[in-house]
Amino acid sequence: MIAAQFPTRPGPGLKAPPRARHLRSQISNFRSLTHVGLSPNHGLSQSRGADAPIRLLRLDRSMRARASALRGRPLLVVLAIVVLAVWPARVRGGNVTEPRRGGTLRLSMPSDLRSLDPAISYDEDSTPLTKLLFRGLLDFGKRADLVLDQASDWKISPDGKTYTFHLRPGVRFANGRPVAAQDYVFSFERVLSPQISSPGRDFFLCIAGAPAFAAGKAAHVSGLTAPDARTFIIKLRTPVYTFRYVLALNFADVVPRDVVRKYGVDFQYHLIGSGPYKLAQWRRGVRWRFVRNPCYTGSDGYVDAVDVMIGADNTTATMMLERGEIDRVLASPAEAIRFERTPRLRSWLVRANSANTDYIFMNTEMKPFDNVLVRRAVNYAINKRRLLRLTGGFDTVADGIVPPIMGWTNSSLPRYRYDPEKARALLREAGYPNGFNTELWYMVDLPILARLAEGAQQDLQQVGIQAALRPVNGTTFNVKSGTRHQIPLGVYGWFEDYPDPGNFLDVLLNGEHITETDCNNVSFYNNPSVNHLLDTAVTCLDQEQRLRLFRQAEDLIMTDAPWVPLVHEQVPILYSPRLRGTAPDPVWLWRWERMWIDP
Amino acid sequence: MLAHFLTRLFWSALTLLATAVLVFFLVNAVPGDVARVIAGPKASPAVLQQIRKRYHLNDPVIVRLGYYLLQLAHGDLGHSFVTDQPVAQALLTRLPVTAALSAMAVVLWMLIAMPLGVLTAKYAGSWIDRGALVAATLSLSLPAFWLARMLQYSLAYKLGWFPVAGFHGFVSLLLPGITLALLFIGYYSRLIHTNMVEVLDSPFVRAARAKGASEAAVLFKHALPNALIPVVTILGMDVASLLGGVLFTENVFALPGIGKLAVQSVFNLDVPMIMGTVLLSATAVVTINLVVDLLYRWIDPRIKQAC
Amino acid sequence: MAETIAAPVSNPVSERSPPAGRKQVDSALLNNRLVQVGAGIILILTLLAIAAPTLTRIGVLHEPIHQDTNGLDADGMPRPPSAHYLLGTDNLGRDVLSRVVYGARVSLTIGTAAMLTATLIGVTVGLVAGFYGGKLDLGLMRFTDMNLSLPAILLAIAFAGLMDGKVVHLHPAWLHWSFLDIRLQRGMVSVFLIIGFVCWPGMVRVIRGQVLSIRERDFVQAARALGASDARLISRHILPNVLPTVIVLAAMNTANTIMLEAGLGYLGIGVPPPAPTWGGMIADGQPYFIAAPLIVIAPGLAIVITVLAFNLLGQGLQEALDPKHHP
Repeated sequence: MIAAQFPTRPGPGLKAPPRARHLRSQISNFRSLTHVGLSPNHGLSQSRGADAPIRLLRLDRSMRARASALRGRPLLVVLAIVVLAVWPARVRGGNVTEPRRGGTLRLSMPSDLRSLDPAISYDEDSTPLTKLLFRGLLDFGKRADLVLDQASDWKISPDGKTYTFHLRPGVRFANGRPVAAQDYVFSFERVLSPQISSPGRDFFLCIAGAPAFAAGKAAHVSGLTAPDARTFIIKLRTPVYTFRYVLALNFADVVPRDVVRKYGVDFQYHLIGSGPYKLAQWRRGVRWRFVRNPCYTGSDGYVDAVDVMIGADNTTATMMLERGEIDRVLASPAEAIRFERTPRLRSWLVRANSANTDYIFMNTEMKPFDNVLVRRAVNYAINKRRLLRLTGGFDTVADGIVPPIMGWTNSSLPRYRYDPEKARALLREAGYPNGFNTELWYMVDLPILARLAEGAQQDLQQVGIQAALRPVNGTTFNVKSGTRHQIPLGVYGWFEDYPDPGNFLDVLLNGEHITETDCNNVSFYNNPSVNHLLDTAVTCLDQEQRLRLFRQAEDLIMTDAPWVPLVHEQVPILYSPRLRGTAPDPVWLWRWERMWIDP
Repeated sequence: MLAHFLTRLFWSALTLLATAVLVFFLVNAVPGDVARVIAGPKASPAVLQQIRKRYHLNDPVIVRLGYYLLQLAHGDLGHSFVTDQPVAQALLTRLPVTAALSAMAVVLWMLIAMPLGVLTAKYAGSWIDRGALVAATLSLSLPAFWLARMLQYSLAYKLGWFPVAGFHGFVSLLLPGITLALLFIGYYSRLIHTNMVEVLDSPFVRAARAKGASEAAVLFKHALPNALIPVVTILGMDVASLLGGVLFTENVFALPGIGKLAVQSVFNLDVPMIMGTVLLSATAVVTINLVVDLLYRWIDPRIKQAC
Repeated sequence: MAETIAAPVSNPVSERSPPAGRKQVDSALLNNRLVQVGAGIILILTLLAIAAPTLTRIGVLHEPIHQDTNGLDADGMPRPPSAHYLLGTDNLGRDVLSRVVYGARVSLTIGTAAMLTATLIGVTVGLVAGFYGGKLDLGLMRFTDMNLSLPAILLAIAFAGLMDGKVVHLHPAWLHWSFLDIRLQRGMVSVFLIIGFVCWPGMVRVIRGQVLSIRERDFVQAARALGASDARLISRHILPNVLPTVIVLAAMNTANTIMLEAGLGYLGIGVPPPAPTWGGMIADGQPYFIAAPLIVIAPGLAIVITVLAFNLLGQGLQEALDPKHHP
């Protein structure tokens, strides 16, 4: 998904404190993918040993900026897998106490969420809140392992195409009605329905009969069946390995079919699910309140209520946190550093790593960026180490397209090192001895990207490229960047949905996915050899082979240089000291129902 | 009296109508694909087409204006493009906060401006007066967004006298109210000062003094009420600028009011919501001016046709 | 707030007969402490703004948009004040003092240009409405009232929303006169026009009131009886007499326009970066506010001082030009 959320990032810096460096070194231990048991049977294990170092990272993180309600995020389907390494983030001393029940968790968000309807919800603040209300068959455990949630057992056929679930008896919706397998059929179809425009639709298109249903050509999805109230069977068109992870996303959570039918689109105001909490109040743009669901039988859900206030900007929220008015803030880079440098506050800070790449894209269909020499010149012109410090200093420099934290290595990187002389030489060679004028677009509501853009502008200027800054709001940027011949040069960011290199390479740079509008390939980069490599890799089930293909593709892409990869972000989070269980969730960064309040 | 009232009412309504038309054109010139804003990024072309049809987005602006005015005539402000929430409902849930904040600010600044104005008028020309003048000018030179941040930082965050932000009843309005009051005290203290100077010079005050009324009685019982009459008019005219200050203050203090809504809707390109907030503020200004006008006539029947 | 300031001058200058005691006014002006202070500050600010590039050249100031590599510490935190950076650096390693000084260029230019725009519109509307009266007067005044009933900042936001790179063709489609294409984008010009278009209504009422009374004065009536044209009446008799009021209003309106420019910059819809604007500096500095408060405090104080100077000047002018009010 695209871009970042408001606050920002710090993390181990250039001269990082020892602890942070330690974190970094742990990543490198897990860099190799080879020991990540990817054989199908291994993947089926429902819970890995505590010593297993391998994790699925975060699936879903997107921008939550001021305009989050409408920020679009192109979606991606990814058909592959890589389980990855997440480094154990800092664990606070307080986490050793036993979870206890009670208290109210107070949260703050800069702007309201679009919806917590599990078919709609799709960003880093929405998903964990959606999980308070809704649950499904599978869930991610504390180590990003797949665990059974509201299913009592599951089975995948040897050909990898048929998933059979039996529902756990006694599971009821918040209105008291027991959950039936038919509710799952209904919920899955709802995500695919052409009326809903669910951002999760593409995840489900590998189900048999799904494309026909999504196109409105079939009344039901033939691959979804409920032979009895406790059995739910999913048949896939192709054995997509990653589909099992989809089943733990909120799109696969169950909604009560009678209630949804009754309210229609108004279901978003009457959210009822089978999660640990129920919706007590939603005042648009003002506040959300969640209270215990009396029908819930699971052991999680420690706090009595969750209160979310809307509208405080980041600076205000940080002051509120310090004064004990709220319990969590996504820290700005400066605040993260201040908390780290202040002994009293140091333990409030938790750093979570995210699989993301912020990058400059050059529109390969627009002059002068249709010239590969110009694109390479731009790559040499950008001083990434300097940019890193502008964004708070603790992210990592991006050498390639795919974030290394996904377990990705590519020995041919970095391809371009900062070298303004070489950039000027390339520009001369390309026929621009005096540089040229262009426009650099970015989203004004995402300060990190804005800072990167302002920094890059100065670097470009130094080699003779005069780029006028074009700050626009998120919606405008998303629409314009996805449309042909609109933006010559822009700054963008992408967060993984799935821990797979294809989530970056295939989704963002496969020329066959270019569309006139809504295009994720914002460089409009189209190299047939790359396309072929990516197409082969995505449908390949041999892990070694597909990684090799992806690596070849990344090499070719870096040679053609449609992007300047800038940085990989890290998310600094500040938690009130009374809150426990705040170690970063490997998938969603935080899970409110797994935190508790120390009296 | 009734005829006058009806004339004023007619003009007020016309002003509002013209405002609606003006703002409609302004807001609808804003670029950006509105259908996409409504439908979200994943919407299919068919869905987009459906939405364009439903909101008449394919029609010329003038036809859309017709639809909009028709809708307004039915008392319907439309639905938010972004959240599909009825605009009227969104405005109504936020109005109390803004109204309470404004009222608190007015009360606070009048409570301080009145004695200040009286005092400086009594000692007109002295160093107290000159100092107060400079202080007053300073007060109207403060940027709301900056002052709000400074007060939030020093009084709430550092000293802990007030909650930092958020809305939990009356307490949450104190600091934002003080912020707004500080922005207006200067102006009103000078206004009262000027009027007081004139009133103190008038025959009836001299008469009161001659009768041997105490100085305090002269100042506060005889002079001040008379000096306050023109202030009421200005107060009515100032609602618009007060709302401008409220806009920034609400955003810094995260108060769920109209100002917060306005800024959010602008950033979201939420056309009906922008229209709603603008129309609401225009309505507030026009209504309050109407009330002030009538009040004025009631207080001071001598005024016949001043405009 | 922004628009409050115009209103206090409900009757800034008493009506005087045409031969205004110029000498008297001059000395009153020069002796008024408020005028002295206000004009002095404005003079210093203007000189600083003009001299800024020279100051940079001789090394007193830094380049305002230059992101100094040493401007951030190892973690990427802005530098605190030091001998090298008197007010510290901002989040991109730029010198805060230099940006504040260069910000004066932007603020004063836009403020003045917008004031001139607003004055031009406001005075024209006020003159026409007051002089011709009747239906025209009614229409113009209602239009003014309508504009007054909208918070200026809200109107400015709506205008600023228009400036999104859209190209307006001022020529028929079949003529390819691209020089008549106007690109609506944010820049100094669009920002001062927006502010100018938003700030004029405050002046109209006062000007009109004065024109109404001057129109009925003997010397105007006499000129009219002698067959003077409307244009001549306005330019030779009316305008000179409202001029003092216009000057007072203009000074105060400059305070308004500068404040509004800062407000737009704060909301991220002013002059686009990397140009240093005070409002923009406050907005960009907010995430760094608690850790490095100067980034926000410095441009805020710059706004306060500048606006204060114009308000003091206006206040002083009003006193000096209206001896009756302040003996």
